[in-house]
Amino acid sequence: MAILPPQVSAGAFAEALRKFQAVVGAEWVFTTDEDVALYRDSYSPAWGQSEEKLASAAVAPVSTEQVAAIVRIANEHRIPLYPISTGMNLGYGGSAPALSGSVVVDLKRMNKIVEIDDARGYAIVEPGVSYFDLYRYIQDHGLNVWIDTPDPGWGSVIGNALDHGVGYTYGAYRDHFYSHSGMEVVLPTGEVIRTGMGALPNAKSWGEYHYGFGPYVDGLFSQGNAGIVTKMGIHLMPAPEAYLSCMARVPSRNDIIPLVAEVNRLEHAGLIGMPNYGSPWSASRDPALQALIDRPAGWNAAEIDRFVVAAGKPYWQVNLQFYGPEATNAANWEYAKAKIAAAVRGATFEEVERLKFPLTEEQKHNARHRVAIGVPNLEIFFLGARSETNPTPSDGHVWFSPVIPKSGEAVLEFQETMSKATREAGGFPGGLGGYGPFSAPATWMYRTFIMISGLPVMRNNPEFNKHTRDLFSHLIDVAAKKGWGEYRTHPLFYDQIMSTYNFNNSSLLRFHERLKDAIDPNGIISAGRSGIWPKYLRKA
Amino acid sequence: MPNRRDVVKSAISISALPLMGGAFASRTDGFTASGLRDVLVDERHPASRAFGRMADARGLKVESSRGDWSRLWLTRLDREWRSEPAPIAGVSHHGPLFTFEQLARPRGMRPVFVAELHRYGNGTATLHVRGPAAVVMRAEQSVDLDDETWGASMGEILVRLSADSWRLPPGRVEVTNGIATTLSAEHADPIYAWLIAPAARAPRFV
Repeated sequence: MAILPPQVSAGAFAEALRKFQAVVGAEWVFTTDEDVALYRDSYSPAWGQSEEKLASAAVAPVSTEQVAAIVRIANEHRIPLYPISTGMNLGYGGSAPALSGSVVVDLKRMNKIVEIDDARGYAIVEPGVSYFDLYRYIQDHGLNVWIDTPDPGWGSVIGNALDHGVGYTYGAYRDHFYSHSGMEVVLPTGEVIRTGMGALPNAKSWGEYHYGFGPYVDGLFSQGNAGIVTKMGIHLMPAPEAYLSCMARVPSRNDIIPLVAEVNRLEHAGLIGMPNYGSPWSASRDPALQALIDRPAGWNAAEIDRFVVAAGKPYWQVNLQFYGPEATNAANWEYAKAKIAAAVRGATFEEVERLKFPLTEEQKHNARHRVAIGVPNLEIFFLGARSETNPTPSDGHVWFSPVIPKSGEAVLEFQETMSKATREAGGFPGGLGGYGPFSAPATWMYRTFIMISGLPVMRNNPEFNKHTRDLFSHLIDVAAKKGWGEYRTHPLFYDQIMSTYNFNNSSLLRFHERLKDAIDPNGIISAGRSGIWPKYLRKA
Repeated sequence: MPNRRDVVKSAISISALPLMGGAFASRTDGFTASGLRDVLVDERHPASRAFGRMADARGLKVESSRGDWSRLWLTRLDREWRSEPAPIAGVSHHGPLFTFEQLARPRGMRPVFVAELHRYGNGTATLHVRGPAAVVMRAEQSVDLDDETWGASMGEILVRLSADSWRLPPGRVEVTNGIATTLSAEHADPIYAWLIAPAARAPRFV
């Protein structure tokens, strides 16, 4: 056994493990180096270095009762626990704990779909249910609903929602925590509570009405460490009759300002699903353009714009997605075209894909963007492989995910600010990726943009990874000064990011700490998660 | 001055050597001695295509793709592995190996053989192999081969592994055929030959 939990003796740890075995069976407590290594973060930017976060052991319960028993034992012996659902949070820490020496509570065996209703549009699931599982269940039973799935589809429905994960369809569905409805939670004492309508015995609307009665506490369990969620309701999207995917393109750099304003109106009025912004130039290898981007003093926006306009190829594009009856999709597309054309001189339009449901497996496989039609997949790992646009792929990445306003002005300001910040910090390691004049916003969040970037990781290159960590840290600071904060991060950066949410002398963090001390006095659940530490590990 | 072949070996159990013959078995009826039925071929790489041709000639199920095996997972493997995990092999870049390692893990499977080939700008190659000790020593000889021959050679090893081979003492070898310089731009992403199979101690989460 490589490591022990902090401030726990070998004897106390062994005793706790024996008690865990008595609860779940010896075969579901993992203590060998070989088994525990499976819980390392495959994408760790500190792989093999002293900063890497490592588990001491893992335990895999199959029921809420077993989770509660594990928690009680952990309290008795002061053993820190770190619950994971399917443990596939790659780029944000994987299945490794925030505190080295924690025992991972692996919830993959809790994989029941407790209830599902396609007329009322919800499911209640356990943490081991993946998007693949839920999708297959719906397909096998011919249900008339869709899931909203992230990339890739092997993640947990509950785990993703708790981490504020996101998907690709309509706004109300692709914010997965917003779409959740009611939880069952094992508190740090081992007591089991249900939230929302779930708190009402024999509740008939657990999966539908979020709030129940009284103060809403579900947020404490998202990105938090106040308990272990063992069931959750989630809203499901009605299966549409048809899907229409279209592209609008605009000629010049500043056109993104009116374009975003118009698309925001379309989306917030419910006329389109997730818009996808991009630039036809983002994968360009034009040497003349590259020379402009790589100027030692940094690229100049006006110069880049002149180049693009002279080339006659649009600067920006946005993919608009319509879900519903064919007739309303077509009408909404006509309306969108008229609004964008009126707002942006020189805008052009193209219909990209029409689908009528249900699809055959072949049609699903050949769809341009499967997650947009609720089909979970593994395509993102194909995209990571070596290709013309990704000639030197890394072993992994850590996501830098700052939230910015949903405006074209914010996108342009972010590009210039963060390109400069990256240059100052020596660029992206190995020249892999980075921000530039064609960086486009991700639109998973309904009401904001995320300027996400994957900072590369090389498993066998500590120097490369240190550059990644240093750059990441620098970008956090630069973003915070501009009022841009990350929505989610890797455990190595929990403390730094929480320290940027520091209004009124970090009163929010101090509130979290008071709650933590009251709810979990022994600090056994997810110590350090989101920078919230139990008292015994807190820095003065 | 290093030798033309500079071999570094570690963790190879000498006691395994008398068992070398037992690590291999020959069947050509579409079902190998290890129970291997499915092989993955990445159409983008000549080594993988060569592996596919060899496997196809032996009657194995060859699943070809340009790197995205979502459909195979959703429509077949997930269901099959729920009832009975079965070995799967591939010659690919790291993405598919990583993906299938992750998918196979909760079904009680682990990588039992992985050969990782890096090519450098000066024509040098470095090969890292881990797997049953006896097989590792055989794979080591492939470092001088061109991509196509390497893929076929690895395929021969993968399809001839017996079901018991990964219960033999494990081995690991790193071998290079020259002085490595910078990675070749053409081969910046290493190529892997791999076999993932049910492991005796590995728990199944389904």
